[in-house]
Amino acid sequence: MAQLIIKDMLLQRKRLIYFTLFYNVFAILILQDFFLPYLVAGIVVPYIMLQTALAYEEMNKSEIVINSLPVRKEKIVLARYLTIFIYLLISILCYSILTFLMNLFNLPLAGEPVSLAGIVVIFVGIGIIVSIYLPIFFRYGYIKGRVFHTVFTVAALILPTVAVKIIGENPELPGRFVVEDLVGVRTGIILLLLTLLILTISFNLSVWFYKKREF
Amino acid sequence: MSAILEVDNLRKEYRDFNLNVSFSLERGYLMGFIGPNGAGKSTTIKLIMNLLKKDSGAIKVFGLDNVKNEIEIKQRIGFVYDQNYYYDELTVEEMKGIISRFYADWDDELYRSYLKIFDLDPRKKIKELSKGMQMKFSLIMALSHHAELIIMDEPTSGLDPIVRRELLQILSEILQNENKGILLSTHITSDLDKIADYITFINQGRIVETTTRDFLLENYGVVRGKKELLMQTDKGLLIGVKENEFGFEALVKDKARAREIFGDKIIIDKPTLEDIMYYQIDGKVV
Repeated sequence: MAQLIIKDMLLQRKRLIYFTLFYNVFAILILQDFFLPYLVAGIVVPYIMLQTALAYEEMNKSEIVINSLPVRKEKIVLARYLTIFIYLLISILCYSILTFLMNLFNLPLAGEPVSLAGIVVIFVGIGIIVSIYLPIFFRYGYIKGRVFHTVFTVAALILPTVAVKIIGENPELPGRFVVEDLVGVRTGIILLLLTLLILTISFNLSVWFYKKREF
Repeated sequence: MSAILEVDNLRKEYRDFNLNVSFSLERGYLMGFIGPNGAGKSTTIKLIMNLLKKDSGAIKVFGLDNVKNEIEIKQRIGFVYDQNYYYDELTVEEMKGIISRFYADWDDELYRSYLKIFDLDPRKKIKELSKGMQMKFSLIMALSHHAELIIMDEPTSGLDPIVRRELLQILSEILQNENKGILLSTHITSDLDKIADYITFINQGRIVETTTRDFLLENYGVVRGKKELLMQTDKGLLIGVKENEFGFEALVKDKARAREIFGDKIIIDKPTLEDIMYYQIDGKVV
């Protein structure tokens, strides 16, 4: 299974660095006054990397190769779920290095460091997105799964705009407090456990769908 | 010796196509799986590889059910695809690095020896390889883990004659080991005229013939004669009758019987596999 994860990293090696860096810089520069840029680093960037990996797989029709190998469907599916959390780690690491450097040099656009509450929100956010998207992907494949991708992309474009508007109209409610207030310790643990449960259900559904897929 | 591959009453239904096939391959032999485009060759192979789900029937590889024992079977199968499905952004070496770790019996020394034989540069990206080279790479991946059964789906289509000969030479060498078997699907039947031990001929989802190549070439014949002879023949003797202003030509399954009926009034030629396929697909039976 590790090979399947390494394969995705190898396939995207250059894009992984460029895209992660680009989106993180973009998030810090553009969104920091309005919203928590690390939510982009933790949710949007891993999702884009997942989509890129799947598009590349579709372009080569390489699922035929993967499914001809002596590897269980469960492992193929699990590798997909784990890969997105590796993208997340890389992106958050990139974001943290960028904000550290900006703060170190006292740049006026220093980014907001990732808080513990932020990590919970990121995990819940990406966990739910993956839990919805991956069963659709394993059932219908990349092309048909694009419908969800389109919905997500539109939502990703609209929601920050709405959030910016709300925050703009309520200056006493900066974005960071929204997240910090939402996630207390107990709420955080409950949210994490719920997300893990949703991920487990989603994983089993994906395996069930994938075992029925034809190539 | 036991069958390395047994396909028994395998069925798969689509809206406009039904497959229903049975055949088996013994260890130590190469079976040519021939038929026109759309006959069901790739569907059958994908069913064997469990890439498609069968509706009914049984597929046994090494005596094991191909679905229940999928992982164990795939450890011992080398699969060559009809086109390049490998990641074209990766180099040959990187792709090997990924694939090899899935196989318990991967032999890196053997892999390097095939690279030399096929003159393949491991530093090249797969997209930089010609179609022939991509096919050679696919073959190397199938051969470097000591696979007992090699399944090849149209490996020679699109290859130049030199590469095709090299490929066939390698396959002949593999069969020096009597424990192995090869199923090679193709519509270029001339590839099989020399190396196939068995021929399974499929058309419109049904097996037309599955027997030894020698039996086919010794018993079948292409007959030519005058049109009036068509009146004296046994029903069903002549297959794929083609008439022209000088007479007729057709395929016969039993050339001894044809000689018995027509005597010296006909000419009987030894058929190629292409003749056998062509007449059975295209012509009328008299």
